[in-house]
Amino acid sequence: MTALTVDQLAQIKSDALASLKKVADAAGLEEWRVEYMGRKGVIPQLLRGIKDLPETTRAAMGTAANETRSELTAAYEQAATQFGAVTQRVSGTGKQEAVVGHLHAITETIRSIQTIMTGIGFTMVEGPLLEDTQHDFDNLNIGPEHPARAETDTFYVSGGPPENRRVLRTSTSSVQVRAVQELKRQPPFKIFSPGRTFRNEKVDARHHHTFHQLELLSVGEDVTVADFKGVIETLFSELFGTDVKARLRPHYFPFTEPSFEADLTCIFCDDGCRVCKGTGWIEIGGAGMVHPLVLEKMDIDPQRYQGFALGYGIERMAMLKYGIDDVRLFLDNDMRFLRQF
Amino acid sequence: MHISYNWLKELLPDLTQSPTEIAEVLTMGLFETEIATTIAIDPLTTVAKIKKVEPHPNADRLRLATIDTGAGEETIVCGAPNIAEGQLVPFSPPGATVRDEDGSNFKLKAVTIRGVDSPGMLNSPRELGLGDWHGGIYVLPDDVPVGSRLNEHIPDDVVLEVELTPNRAHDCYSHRGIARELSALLGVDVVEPAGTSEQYADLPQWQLEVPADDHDTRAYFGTLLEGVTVGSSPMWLQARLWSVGARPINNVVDVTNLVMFEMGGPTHAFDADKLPGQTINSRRAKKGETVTTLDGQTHKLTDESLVITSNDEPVALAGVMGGATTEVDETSSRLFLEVANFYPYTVYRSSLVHGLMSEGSQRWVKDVPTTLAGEASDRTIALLSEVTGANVIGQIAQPATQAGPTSISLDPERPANVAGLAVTREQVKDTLLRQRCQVDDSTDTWQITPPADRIDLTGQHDLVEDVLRLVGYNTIEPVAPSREKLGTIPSDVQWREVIRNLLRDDGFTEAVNVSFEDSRIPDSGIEASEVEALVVENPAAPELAGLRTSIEPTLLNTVLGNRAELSKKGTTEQALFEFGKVFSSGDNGSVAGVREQEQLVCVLVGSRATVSEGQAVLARIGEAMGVAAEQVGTLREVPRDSGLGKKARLPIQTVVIDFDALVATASGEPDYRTSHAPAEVTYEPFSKYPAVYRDVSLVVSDTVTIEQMQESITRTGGELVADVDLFDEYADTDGRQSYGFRIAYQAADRTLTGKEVAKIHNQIVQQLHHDLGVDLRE
Repeated sequence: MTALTVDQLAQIKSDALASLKKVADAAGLEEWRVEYMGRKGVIPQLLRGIKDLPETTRAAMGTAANETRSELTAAYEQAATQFGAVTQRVSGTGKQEAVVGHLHAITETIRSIQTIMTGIGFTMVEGPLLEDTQHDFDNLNIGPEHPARAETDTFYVSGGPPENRRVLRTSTSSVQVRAVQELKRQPPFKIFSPGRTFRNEKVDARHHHTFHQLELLSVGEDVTVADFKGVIETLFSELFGTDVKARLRPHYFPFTEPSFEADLTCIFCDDGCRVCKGTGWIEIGGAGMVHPLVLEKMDIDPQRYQGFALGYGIERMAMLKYGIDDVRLFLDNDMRFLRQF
Repeated sequence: MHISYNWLKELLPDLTQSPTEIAEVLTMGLFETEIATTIAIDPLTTVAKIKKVEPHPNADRLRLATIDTGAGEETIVCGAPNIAEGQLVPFSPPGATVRDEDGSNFKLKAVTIRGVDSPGMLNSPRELGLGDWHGGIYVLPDDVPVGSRLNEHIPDDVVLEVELTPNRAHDCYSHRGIARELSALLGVDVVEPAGTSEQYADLPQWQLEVPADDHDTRAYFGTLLEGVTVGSSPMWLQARLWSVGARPINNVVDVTNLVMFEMGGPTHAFDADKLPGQTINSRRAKKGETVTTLDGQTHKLTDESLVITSNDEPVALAGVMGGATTEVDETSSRLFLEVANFYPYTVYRSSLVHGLMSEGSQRWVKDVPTTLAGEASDRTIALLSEVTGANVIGQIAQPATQAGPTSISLDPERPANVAGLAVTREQVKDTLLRQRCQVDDSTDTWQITPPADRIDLTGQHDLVEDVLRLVGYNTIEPVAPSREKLGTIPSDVQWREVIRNLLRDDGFTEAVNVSFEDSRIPDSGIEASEVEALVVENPAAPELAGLRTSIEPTLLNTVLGNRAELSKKGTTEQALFEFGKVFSSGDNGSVAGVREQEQLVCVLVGSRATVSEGQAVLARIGEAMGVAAEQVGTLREVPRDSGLGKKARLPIQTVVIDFDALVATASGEPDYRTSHAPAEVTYEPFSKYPAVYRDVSLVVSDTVTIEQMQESITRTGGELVADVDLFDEYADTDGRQSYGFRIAYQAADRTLTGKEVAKIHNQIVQQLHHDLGVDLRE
């Protein structure tokens, strides 16, 4: 990197001012501020380099830099009054969280999912968090003697009839069933549902009783495993911003047959790291082709239609996307966490 | 489930794959499998015979064992309670590696214990890496040659951990099951365990009262054997049991355990002469009955307890554990061997009610095919005869009702249609034949008859899975999804996102809290409402026993938890919000009697905690949604003298909005465009320990930039400087610039002391002066 000169600094200043003239609204002004004056902005980055200059030129550069910063600050503040924007603190290396707030990491992840899934034709549905056993279990082929129904895993809420007790939903699969039944959807359809789910589990760095899941359901006359692979490769490649490939391993769920566990090529390494435990693959979650009994419960003819369903943890996706290592951080709501997003 | 590699090789003689390769084949073919542990007894450990046992001259609890090692005699100091003359025991000399109590290995040295030399040690099973039992020295059977290496009798082995899934625990909860599965995946033949195939005489004086088609007991074979000599099992049998983490007890119990691990069918042997009588039943217990199980516990029985009775007296908890009074021991000479089949849910409930679980009950609970009972019985009898000298007097039986072979119709094109891959008919046929199905492909729709133990195969969809999993899911090429038609987002969700953006642009930070009420949250002066909270019957913690009727308390608690950050001088982080569902009794939709609503709560603190700020928030939201500000929601000031107010020591204003109601009255359409960019953010972990803040005012000439000062501070402070924040700057009257920095000192592993902070702060100030000519402002 060539040493910064006074001329260069002058050039950058005039570029910045020119760019400022092109700003059309408050949002654009904020973008300009972040780009030029924010913590990682052009001006502070340049100014950090002054310490590496030879002593002879350092003082002069220091003066010039301070002047440049003052001029740009004044120009920014004037532009801000023009747009009626609340000014951010621009002097020094003021933190850019000054007045712009933050959305939660889970919200950001869900927004990314919304964008990607609607782009490939999936429509979003939501459903109740408080369910009944009919929707949370029976309609998903989980019979009354199935261990998932045991008191230990599911939160039961008092007040409902004994044959159809109230539960906090253990997955977003119940949403699919409702969405299809209530709206009497007939195939072909592609729906996705991100939302909160509950499991009565001990809380630790990787588990919590309250978390979020993404459910996908695509049913039609010829929706295949190949389609499923294509969808998850697209979803995760776009979500993580890098091409990933999927591999499937046999598994078991009561509501799908065949069932699989899906792994993705590790996004952090090429040939083994701590995240993928040296295998080159990251486990992402379970899925499968919808069980004919579940289709029947949805009033869909399993002889004619078929499709896939998946349920993945959104916290897990956010942890991989952002490099977060403890799931409790999402619900602790420590400002030092929240302000990073 | 533990699976021994050596055991698999006995069942699959043509197996060439290594344990690691087997793990990979199983993981990609059916069950997640990995290497759990190895068995590797040091070759220096040999079999020795104890010639003499004497007390240790200097230690009461120790003794001296003089042993014949086959190459001479040695005297070893030993603390075990069970050694005796004539026993054959493992002997490890100096140089041998044995296992310590914490699981690590250590190399033996010759030691002196209380004044007596001990050139080596006699070993317990745990010290040899064989399970956890350390109650005494491992006593070997009489016929093991003295001086031979122990690892000839218990050879090296690799143990795999196989994660069974519930749908295949019926047939795969055993070595034979896994062997059959590997046979299908790899194309190697299985050598089936040999049983007898005799027809046994009836037992005219005995009676089996289990009815045909009984719900709980689906099959029962009771065989009377005599001529049994109870003793140690031969080493080949002991080795098999050690490999799956089971401890050998005596040859009768060991044989029954072996068959269970080999074939998946639990069996139980009673001492026939200790049974109350010759009428045997398997029934639900009656109130008042009790049974004492083998572990010494006496259980009060209920109508959910399934018991084996003899002359109507309970002698065992069926499928769970045998009774103590009929236990087989070294005096037993006649056995009553029970091999049955129990209904899964019945054993599950019985096991739960009595708080008792066993290897056997775990298998029953997963549902064992009824056809296994006869096979397991024949195999157990054959082994008992070989190992204990037993011969059969006769048998009483209630075999399982044989349903005729059921066939499943399969459209041979179906696997290809489900997969989106060209799967040929040859492949379909081959994969099913390899799984021991009968394939009738003479008609357009094929008829497939599964083997008796594959009770998971009930329909076409099951067969499709088993075809595709052998063909391999990863031969299926992904198909890129179509982008022709866009999906949609419901309008109430869009409104939520619009308001999220609005709040974020206004400096709000979003929080996400749990849906439960937390009774530990201090009171914030919220009026008690008539709204009835819903109760969680099995809460995660006692304080989380209700579902929240409002987000306000938990969001205020978030403020409390972030008190330090939110009250920093000059902070602009003064606003939080949260969207979420709240619950109460009532009726508004999906589940009868439940009211579930979307709520939005905003909280303003510090200098933003004013009525006008709150009204501004309502106005902005109202404007975005075409609703009058006063209809949007309600404002409230948290009283400073409330429990929470006192703890927070901050002014707090709340805004509570019934978001469902707001959306219902909104006019116009939300204008929300989703956006997504791959993360530019990488989360940076922060210390759990509090930071200490010191402010410093500096005066400089205008040749020095803020970045230079910052860089000097962070360089001098190193890891202990968590943040440097410029909060103040102005030009002095004398032409110099003044800057105010707040430095946050924090360590990752401890709370810094005042002294530590003062020391580093001074260093920083000195360095600033030295590097940049910076002065402290007076």
